[in-house]
This record gives sequence, C-alpha cells and structure tokens, in this order.
Amino acid sequence: MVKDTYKILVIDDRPDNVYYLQSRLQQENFFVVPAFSGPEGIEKAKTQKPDLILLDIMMPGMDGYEVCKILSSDEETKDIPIILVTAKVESNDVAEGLKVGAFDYIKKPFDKVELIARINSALRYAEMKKKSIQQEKYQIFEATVFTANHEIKQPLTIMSLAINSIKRELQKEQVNKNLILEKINYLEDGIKKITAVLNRLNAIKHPESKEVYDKEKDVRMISVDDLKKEILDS
Amino acid sequence: MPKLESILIVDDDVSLTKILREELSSVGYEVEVINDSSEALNRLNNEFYDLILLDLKMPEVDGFEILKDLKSKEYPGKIIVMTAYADVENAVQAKKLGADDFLPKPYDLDELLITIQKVLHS
Repeated sequence: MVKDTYKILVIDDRPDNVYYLQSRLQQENFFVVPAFSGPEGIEKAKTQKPDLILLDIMMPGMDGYEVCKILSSDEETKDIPIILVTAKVESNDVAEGLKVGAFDYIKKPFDKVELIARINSALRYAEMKKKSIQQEKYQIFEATVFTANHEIKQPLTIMSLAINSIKRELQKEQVNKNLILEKINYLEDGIKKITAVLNRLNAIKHPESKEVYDKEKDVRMISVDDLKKEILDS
Repeated sequence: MPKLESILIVDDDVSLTKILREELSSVGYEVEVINDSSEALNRLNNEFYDLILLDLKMPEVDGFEILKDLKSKEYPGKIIVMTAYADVENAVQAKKLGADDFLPKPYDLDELLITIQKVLHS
C-alpha cells in the first residue's frame, strides 16, 4: 500500500453499526469518517475525499443503491471504490449494487478478516487504476509534446532561412520587393503554424499539474500585415 | 570555370525545399529538389550528386530507408541528415547507415553552410 493511513467513509443510518466499524477499522490504522444518511454521505464523499466508501444498502430515505449511483456518476467521486454493506444475501441485490457502480459488497454480520481483506483489495485496485490512468495521461502528454517539437522546429527552420534571404536582398542596390514579400509570407505561415501548435498544446495539461497552461499569458501575436505594409510603402 | 558542386534536397516540405534551393543556389551550388521521397530511390539509381540533404521523417519512404538503400549500393556522394527529431538514437542510427553528418532542425543558413562545407571537403 502506498499511504500510511487510508481514509474510509462509513455511511450507515444506524450509529451502532458505524461505531462498530469505526472501532474495528481504527485498529487496522484506518481513519474513519462517519455519515448517518445518504445525503450526508454524498456531501462528505465530496468534501473529505475518502480513499474508500463502506455503504449500507438499507437506509431510510435515500438508500445505498441511489447513493452509489450518484457517487459513481459524479466526476469528483467516481474513482472512489465503494463497498456495499448488505444484510440481504440475495444475489439479485448484489448484482443490482454492482450494476450501479459498486466495486464489491460484504454481508452483515461481518467476518473481521474478510472485511479488512476486501477493503485492502479495493484500495489496491483503486491505486492500480489511478496509476494506469496517470500513465496513460503521461503517454498522451509525451506524444503531443514530441509531435509539437517537430511541428515547431520545421517552420522555425524555414523562418530562419527566410530572414537570411530578406537580409541578403536588402543589401542589394536594387531591392526586389516581391522577393521580400514572398519571404515575409513564409514568416507569416510559420507564425500561423507555430501558433496552431501552441493552441493545441494549450488544450492539454501536464499530468502532474493542476494548472492549465494559459496561452494568452505567453503568446503575443506579431502583425505581419504591418510589416508588409511598411515594405510596400517604402 | 570549375563545375559547380551538386546538391539534392530530399524533404517533403515544399516551402523548406524551395527556400533551401534559393539559398544554396545563391551561394553557388547546383541544387535539385525532391519532395516525394518515393521518387528519390529511382533518381538516385541513375544520378550522382556530390551531396544529399536528407530529411528523416517523410510520409512515403522515410530517410532511414533511403539511407539503407544508398548504403547497399555504396553511393559515392556525401549525405547530411536533417531532422527535427534530433535525438542521440536517431543520430547514431543515421551514422551507422552511412550519413556523413546530422543537422538538427531548426538550423540557420550559416550552420547549414558550415556543415555542407565540412562534409564536402573532409
């Protein structure tokens, strides 16, 4: 396991169940956040960001299935593994729970060893899933940067050669304006291509960074039209 | 008057090859261009150039394939590989396949001319 202490949200309308689980889980070095109803559980799942949720199915008002459905479809909570706690033993109930997004289920009364084993298994699964998503993001990021690197260097080479050509032409006694304008078109084209790449990079973010790259801060457009006008007027 | 040294540019980027041709012609080389890399293999069967400026990343036949072909036929001209994918691995592979030098993009005209002169007169 990666962390020293994992946070587990226990949602159950019966305080005796919650306190039993709290005491049992604390012995195993888990930190327990209690919630005594579906809505309270949903709110705590969002604010406390637990590593795992133990969710009782039979609750008055909003039952466990409904809570599970909401948490599994919410962007903020969908990756938290949910273990349903059920007094029922019907396989239909289990199937229903898994269908609405639960990772696993456990029957009451608890077998202590089984409870901890299932919790550890769910935590390991969540960590592996997180790692694999992270790795996928890295691969996309690297591929995009790799391609962008090429797509920027190519126009930069052309722009550098175009500037050289403009300088050479300007040293002549009879300056060929058309030739210069043609080279300025290369510069303009290069700026467009590089801007397009930067805009595309703007759409991705570094897998470890919460900050989305703000292109407006770093990209200032150069007006090639003004430059062309200046040359034509000269 | 001595014969001009001949250069063949193989790159799929039309803008780059156009401006490269102009710049290299202006300093006295005889320059030809191929944008469709599949044509390069045929052309190089029949024609000799003192130097080939070869892009590595091309859609039809990539630069490595052209290098392999030139090596197998012991092409006598010099070869400079130009690439934006400039990493050690590519450079080593290009050298193994017979490239005389490796020019990473972006480069400017001075860098290009120095590399060309070094390769042609080494």
